[in-house]
Amino acid sequence: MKQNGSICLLCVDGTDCRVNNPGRFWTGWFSHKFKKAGLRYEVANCIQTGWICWVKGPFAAGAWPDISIFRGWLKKELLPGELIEADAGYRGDEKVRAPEDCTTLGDYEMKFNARARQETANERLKNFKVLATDFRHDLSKHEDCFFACAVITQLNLQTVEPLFGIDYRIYN
Amino acid sequence: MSDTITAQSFWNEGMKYAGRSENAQPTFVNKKRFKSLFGTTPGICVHLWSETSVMLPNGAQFFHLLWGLLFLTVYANERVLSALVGGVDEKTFRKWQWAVVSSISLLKPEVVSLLKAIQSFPVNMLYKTYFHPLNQNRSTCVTVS
Repeated sequence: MKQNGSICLLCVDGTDCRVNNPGRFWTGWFSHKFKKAGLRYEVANCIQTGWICWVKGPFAAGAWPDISIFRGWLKKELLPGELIEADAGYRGDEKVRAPEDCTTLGDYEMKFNARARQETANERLKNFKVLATDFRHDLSKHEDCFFACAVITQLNLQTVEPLFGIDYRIYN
Repeated sequence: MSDTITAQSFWNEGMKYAGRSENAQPTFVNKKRFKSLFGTTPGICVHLWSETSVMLPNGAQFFHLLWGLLFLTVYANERVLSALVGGVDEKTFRKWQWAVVSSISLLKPEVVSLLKAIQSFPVNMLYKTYFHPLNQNRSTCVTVS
């Protein structure tokens, strides 16, 4: 059994990818991470296995904060009573367990490890240079590239390169 | 055609693109070279090929999958990439790179799925055996579910 009854099954985070500045100026493209134009995707990993279970995007990085993307799609897919582990960018929603939503130091450490591994998964995606450098092609093709990288990364995670294991047992 | 393609085929072609001999040994360094160029292992290439070959245009060969992976991983300009794969025409490379990328992205609903977080399942260590780069059963692909 890989699910141990924890109230959170998924850990979610957003990741930005650089793109060449689209022709018409719009502040909505601005990514605060790169100080340049970017596209944002939402990636959610299973906490118990580390596998990528959800990818949503692309969104204009400046116009779509993480919490809006979550409320628009993933929140509607959660099970009744299920919460989601997330970083401070998702603070404020009743379905989100923010980093400080814990009572003991042990819980804090488990939540920290879950979020740390999420960042590792995002880093695996960025091993594909098409996502780590300025995207030079038409923006409509970026989605295909990101999804293809997600599929390959997920197959790698399932077979030859699993993420490091963590202990996560938070029941309420 | 897809049932005759083995991990050894991908390994040989990949090593050729890496500037090594086709019968290069699967040493640690050579495996790293393959992974650095294509982002995955020959075993997973077989799995991808078996799933995507039916979606590719007529005339698709197994090494076109490597072209798409090379594009995603290296993302150099098409003149560099077409030179890397043996000096094919840029337009030919472009045709197959996008065909492969879009066909792999179509696997997303079955590979990246919320059901994987909801269902309970053991981590099947047999995958390592099936997907070992030079496994004798390399043409056997398990369904990743």
